[in-house]
This record gives sequence, C-alpha cells and structure tokens, in this order.
Amino acid sequence: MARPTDLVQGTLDLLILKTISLEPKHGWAIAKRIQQVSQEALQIQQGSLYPALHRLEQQAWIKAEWKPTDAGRMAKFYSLTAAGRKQLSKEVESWTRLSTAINVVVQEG
Amino acid sequence: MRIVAKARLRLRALLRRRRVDAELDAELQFHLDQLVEELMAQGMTADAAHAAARRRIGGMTQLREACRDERRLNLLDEFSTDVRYALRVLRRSPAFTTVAVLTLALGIGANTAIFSVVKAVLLEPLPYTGADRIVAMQTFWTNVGRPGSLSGPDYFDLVAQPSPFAASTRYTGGELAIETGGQAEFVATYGVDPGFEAVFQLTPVAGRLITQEEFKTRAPVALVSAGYAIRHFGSVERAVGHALTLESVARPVVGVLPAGFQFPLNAEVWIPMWRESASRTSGNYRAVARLKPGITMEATAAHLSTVAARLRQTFPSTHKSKAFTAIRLKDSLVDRSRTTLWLLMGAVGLVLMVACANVANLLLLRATTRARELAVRAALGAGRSRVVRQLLVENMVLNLIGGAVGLALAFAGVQALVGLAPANLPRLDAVRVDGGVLLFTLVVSLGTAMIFGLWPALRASRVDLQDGLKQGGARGVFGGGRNAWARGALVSAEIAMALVLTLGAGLFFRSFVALTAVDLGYHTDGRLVLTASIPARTEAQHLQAGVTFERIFADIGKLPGVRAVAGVMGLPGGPYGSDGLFAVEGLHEFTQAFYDKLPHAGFRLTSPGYFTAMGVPLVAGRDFDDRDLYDAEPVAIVSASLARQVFRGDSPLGRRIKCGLDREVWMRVVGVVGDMRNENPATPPAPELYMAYRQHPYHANELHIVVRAQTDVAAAARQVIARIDPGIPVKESTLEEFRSKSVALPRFRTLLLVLFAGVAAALATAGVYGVMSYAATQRRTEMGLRIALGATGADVVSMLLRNGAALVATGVISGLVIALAAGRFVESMLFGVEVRDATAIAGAVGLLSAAALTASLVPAVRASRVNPIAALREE
Repeated sequence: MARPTDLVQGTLDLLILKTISLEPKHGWAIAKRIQQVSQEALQIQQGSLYPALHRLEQQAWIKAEWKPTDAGRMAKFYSLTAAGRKQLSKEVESWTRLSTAINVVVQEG
Repeated sequence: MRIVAKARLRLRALLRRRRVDAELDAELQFHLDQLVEELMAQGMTADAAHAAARRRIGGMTQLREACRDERRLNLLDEFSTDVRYALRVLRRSPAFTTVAVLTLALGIGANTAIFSVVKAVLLEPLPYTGADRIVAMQTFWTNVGRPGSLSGPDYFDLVAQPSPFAASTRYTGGELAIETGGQAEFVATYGVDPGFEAVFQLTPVAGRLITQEEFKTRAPVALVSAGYAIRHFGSVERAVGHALTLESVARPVVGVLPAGFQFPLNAEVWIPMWRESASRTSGNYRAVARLKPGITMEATAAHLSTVAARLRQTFPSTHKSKAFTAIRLKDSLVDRSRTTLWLLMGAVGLVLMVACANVANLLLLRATTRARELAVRAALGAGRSRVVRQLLVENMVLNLIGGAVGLALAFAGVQALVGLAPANLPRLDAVRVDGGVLLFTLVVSLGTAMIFGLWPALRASRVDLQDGLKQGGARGVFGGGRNAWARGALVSAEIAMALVLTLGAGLFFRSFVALTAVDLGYHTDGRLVLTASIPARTEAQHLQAGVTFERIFADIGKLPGVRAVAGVMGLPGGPYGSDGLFAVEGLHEFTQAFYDKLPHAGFRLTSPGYFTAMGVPLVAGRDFDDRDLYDAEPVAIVSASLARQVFRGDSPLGRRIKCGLDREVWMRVVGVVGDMRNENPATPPAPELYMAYRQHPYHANELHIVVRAQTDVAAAARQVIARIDPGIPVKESTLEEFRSKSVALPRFRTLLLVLFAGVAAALATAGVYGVMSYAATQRRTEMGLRIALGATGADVVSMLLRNGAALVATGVISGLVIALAAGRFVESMLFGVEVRDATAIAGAVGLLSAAALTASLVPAVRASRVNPIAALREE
C-alpha cells in the first residue's frame, strides 16, 4: 500500500463537494468514501475534514441536516445546495485545467 | 439567496452559540464512535480501540476551535475588537481625541440644528390630509410681473364647475378685535367659504363644524383653535357654546379645530365669510383649493389660463393684464424662506467640511507619529486592508462620539434657532430633533468618517517597514514627513472654504448694514405704536369711532413728554394697507374703459399730525386738520414720488383725485409729503395717496396710534384709552419693532452666516497653526543646523513663514474663485451691495490672511529661538 498522498492545497473542498453530490453523507462516510474511491490513496484527516465541512456550510455551498443513519444513530448529513452544485462544476473545471496543464509539463520530453 | 442563507447561518452561530457548539460536539463524537467501531471490528478491544481512535483524531479542542474559526463570527468579532482597540487608542491620546471630537461636534451639531429647521419647514409635508393636493390661487399681474389677491367674482369664475377643484375656499381677515368674557384682544381671525372644511378635511376635536346652511345665511358662529379654546375657556370642550364678540356681533363657538391646524398662519378664529365684495377690480381675497384626484398641476394651470382668457374677452379693460396661478400650498408658504434655509444649509455644510478637513489633517499627523505602531502591526502580518479597516473603525468611533456631542449641541442650537428665526417662518413650532434628524446626524457622522478618513487611512497604511521601524521615523535633515503636501493641500482647502463663507458673511453683513442704514423717509426712534380697534357696524358707529379716536389723540397728547400723537391705517411694516388705481381730474377718467391707463398708488388713511409724528417732511401745502371731516370737502395728500410721476413738475396742489377705496368722490390735493418706504426697508418708495381718516370712516375704526414721546408713556397712554372706553382692545409695540420685523429674515440669515463664517475661519486658522507648528517641529534639527551655520532668527522666521504664506495664498485665491462663481446664487438676497463688493472682498481676504499668517508666525518664531546645540544633540 502506497503512502497516502498529501492533498494538493484547496482540493479537499472539491473532493467533499464531489463526494456528496450524489447523495447526502455524514462526515465519517465522506472520509470513508474518498478513501475507498481513491483506493486508499487519499486519507482525509479529521483535523481538516470537519473545519472544511463547516467552511463549506458557511459559504452556503452545502447544507447540513440531522438524520438517523442506517444503524439508527443520529448523524449530521451534508448535501449540496444549488450554489454548491455550481461551485462544484467550477472547481471540477479548474481542476481539470490545472491537472491537464501539469500533465503536459510533466510528460514533456 | 446565498447571501440570505449565509446571513442566517452566521446569525445562528452568533445568537445560538451553545446549541451550535453542542451540535459540533455531537458530530465529532459520532465520528469518534464510528472509528472505535471500525477498530473493534478489526479486532481491538474496546479500551484499545478508544485509545487508538483518540490518538488518530488528535486534539479535540483544536479541532473544535478550527471548526469554530470556519464559522466566521470572526467578522463581527473582529469588528468589536476593532472598536475596543479604537477606544483604547483614542483614550491614549486625550488631547487629539478632545480636539477632534469638539471640532466634529461643532460641525455636526450645526448641521443637525439647521437640518432640523430645513426638515420641518421645507421637507415635511403640511400636516393636512392629502396636503400635496392643496393649492393656493392668486392673481398674477402680467404687466408688472407681480402676484396679487383675487377678486370675489374672479374667484367664483375660477372654481365654477367643471373645474379641477374638488373643494375650494376664499379667506380674508387678520388680527381683529375679539371680545371674550368682557376682555377684548387682537386675534388672528379669518372669514372662510363653505369649501374650507372640505379643502383641509377637518374634523373638530370638540363641538361640530359650521354647517352649509350657516355658511349660506352667514350665521354668526365661529370655530376656534384648540390653543385659543384652552387659553380662554380652560379646555376644548368648555369652549363650545361660549360666545365671542366680533365687530359688535356675538358669535357662539360651535366647534374647536385640532391643535396642529394653523391655516392661515397663526389663525385662531374662523367664521363664515363676512366681508363680501362684488368688485371685479379690487383684490380682496386669497384662496386655496383641493384638486380632484388625478388632476395634475399642468391641467390646473391650463384651466386657470382658459378662464383668464375668457375674462380678458369679457372685461378687456380691467382684465388685460390679469392671469391666475395655482401653486402647491406648501410652496406658497415656504417660498420666501426657502432660499435662505438652503443658503444656511450650504453654509453649515461648508463649516462641516472645514471641520472634517481639520480632523483629517490631525489624522494625517497622527499617521506620521503612528508610523511605527502601524509598521509593527504590518511586520506581524496584518494585511493592508486589515490596517485600513482598523483606522476606519477608529474614525467611525471618533465621528460617532463627535456626532453624539454634536447632537447635544444641536438640541441647544435648535432652541436658539427657533428663538432667532423670523416669527413668520411657517411651521416653526414643528422644528425639533426627531428620528429623521437623528438619522441625518448618523449618516453625516459615518459618511464624513468614511470620506475624510479613507484617504488618511490609505496613506497611513502604506507603511514602509524599513523606514517605519527605524528609530526616529521621518525626522531627517529635510524632515516634514511624507504627508506634508497632503496636509498642506487640506489646509489650503480649509482656507478656501472659510474664505467663501467669510466673504458671503461679509456681503450679507454689508447688505444688512445697508438695509438698516437706508433712509426710510421716517424716523423710528422714540415712537410708540398702540394698535386700537373700536367696534363699529353702522355708519353712525363708524363716525362715532372717529370722534372717540379724536378724544384719544387729544388726551394722549396731554401726557407729559408726548411731542406728537396721530393715527394711521397703513403704518410702514404694518398689516393694514391698501392700494389701487386712481384718477386725476383732467388727466384720466375713473371708468372701466380707462382702467389700464390709470396710475397706481398705495392708499393710507391718516389723522392730522401723522407726518409730524413720523418725522416726514411736508414738502408743499398743508397737513390734514380737524376741519377735514366727513361732511367737508374730501381732501388728499400725495407723496413726492406720486407728484413727480403723475403731475410731472406741475404742482398737484388744488388738483382733484379719485380712487376706489370706498367713496368714489373727488378729493382735493392739499399737500405733498416726503417719500416713505412703506412696503419694507428694501423696497424703494412707491407713490402714496394719503387720505383724511375722518372722511373714510368705514376703513378707520382700527388704527395704529403713533406716539412720539421723550419718555416711556405706554402705560399712561393705555390708561387714557381704558378711561375713555375699557372695551377698546389695545396692542402695544414700537415703530422700531415694526421696522425690525420687516427685516427679520435678512437679520436671521446674516447673524447665522456671520456665526458660521467665524467658526469656519477659526477652524481654518487652527488648521494652519497645526500644520505649521508640526512642520516647524519636524525641521528643528535643520533650523538648529542653519542657526549654527550663521542664519539669523529672521532668516528662519521668513523661511518658515514663506511656506505658510504659500498655503494661505493658494487657499485664498481658490476661495475667491469659488466665491465669485457662486455669487449669483445669493445675488437676489443682497440689498445695496454687489456680489463683487470690494469692501467685503478686501475685508474677508484681509481678515482670513491675517489670522492664518499669524497662526503660522507663532510656530516660526518659536523655531527661530531654538538652541542649536540642543536641537542638534537630539538627533
């Protein structure tokens, strides 16, 4: 197993937005999901996950709701707002641009 | 919508902090539990899993803090920190704070006070329902370009349906003698038409309104104001049923109108129209009307001109130059004072600008001395915007304190203003510091903080770390600080604004002096005026009133110290006066066909001895005497300008004149007297026709009695009248008061302008002093060096003074340019003085330059006395 990669600055927001774009998730599930999809390459630290969630909520890009989990415990579920959806597509676009550019540079010669 | 969501979240974080924190704890606990569960699923024991989970999550407290930070209460938190910090900074430099707060308080307070007057008089609607649909109607004489009253028949033609008016009324009256409970006094009383109540949509606070039937039959009833009811009967309810006696007729009070209702100005008694005149040529009435819903002012004007055109065709000789106007009632009431009030508002605005420029200057100075503090903050990582914000908050706090102190000044100022203002300024009783005025003060305080604070803040925040942190800061050999030119520019601007004000004040002062110095044609000193009214209805009663007046004059004349006594209807500056057309035998015919060719004059009725009592010279012929009675040949005296204009060098003596005052009889001219400024001191004398009061008894039962005496005989004279008839109401005044009242508005604005100019000049001078003494301190080392190298004290003084002079000259010249450009706005308010009055210009420039140069001389002299050794050692 490779060592988890440090996140590029600012990409955590993108990952969170993307992860909850399909269905509302609580913090734990978001972290797990990112870990899982990235095949353990991306490890989200709680220390940055929760402040990020709160920041996004304050920006009104995501909204929170207390709901029971499948196991019946109450948890805070986050979902995208309309503004969040717009922000997500913006961030995806700029990420694509950036990563393409980096790829071009890295693979040259 | 995002902004709403954001605001809601922040508000929630702020107001429900505990709840939000609890939720955060629950959320993090959930995460921890999930982690423990996962670890246990991997085979750890519960204890081990707990420990491992805690380790993985790390410091819970830091995490919580991090989340809280993201919630950004911060903006508000930071703001309150800024405010607290600002208060601390301001407290730390009490001298600066005191000077700045007082300067701002002066500026803001003066603005608040004037604004409260402007708001009450000009901005607020009249306190009547739908007041913006009430209009005032007038005749407008197109040949002389002047408004006039309406004639009765013209009025009825204007308002006959179909017309734009839903309701309308004429009104006429004034201070009339009214008797209540055995006591007679002068009360503002007006006769009105049936439409009166509908125009103002009146509801009585006690009793009822006058019925249409009572209007039609001219029933002897009256409505009174709430103030009158309380003054005379104790309460509004008790007034109903009591009787007032007006012109010997008892009129029961049927109703009381609400306290705020005051139309016409200061009216206290309203009765059904009782003076009917069917004359089309004499303007006896003023009128107001309420427009029908949806009718525009343009449509109204069109209606009036249609009627005017029709009347011109029907009565070509009398209505050739007659037009009619309707303007909003509000405008008609405040027209005269509008320019004055805006002028004062502008002046006081300039004062505020000077005050703010002074404070901005202080801020710039402080920025220089605070350079180190700001540099330290910048070095510690404060961004520029953070520093600017901090400085702006400081300014806002400063200005709000200044505003609060200013408000206290304004409360006092408003009282003083209302006391000073001319009594005929409408709606003076409504002037107060209210919510709107508070808002104005708040906006002005914060607005000036932003406008005048931003620039110093931006400059101050541009910190050069290297420079700022160095010990000693900006004090180099050629010190002066990097803000020197900015401060200089501000001071020049202050001087410019102060000059505009000083010059304006100078012009108005000169104009007022000219107004008081103008030759009135009569003398006011030592002249007592008693206004007396003898009730009369029938011809016999009117004739008897003349006899009674004759006795009054004779008895007052016997009092010790009295040199002359006489009666007049039509005293200069007084309320009773009449005017109209007249014909000279052999030159004109007094018929309708001649109307547009007839000359015009003021009509006044006098008793024998009036001209002596007033100090008016008899140019030719004789004065009236006690033989000029009702049955004798009617006689008249003309003024010098009437003689000049109409008789063109021929002697008017012995010629005969006829006018339409009451009896259309030929009157023989027996005398010519000097011109008087009867209208007001600012208006040149007009042709006047004086008639013997005993020959026109219908207009002569209410007279001003002019008593010329060496001592104060007012009380004795009143006793004389009371002895003759205790039922005669008497009002006491002096001729000087009449004159003074007629120049009340110019006096009011002159006084305030001089006051404001003084404040502005003082502030600007203080500004010059501040900048110059700072510059002198900054250049101490340089001056020390120069003196050590052989410069004399005079060299140093002249060097520093030259800088000051440059600032002053720049300010004075730009001020002059602005003042001359703005001059045309005040031209119409000036009397006997040009806008480019050399004396005023020289005075203002001289005064301000002298003050400003003195202010720069003091620090210059101080700098020249510097001990070179001490100054150089400081370095």
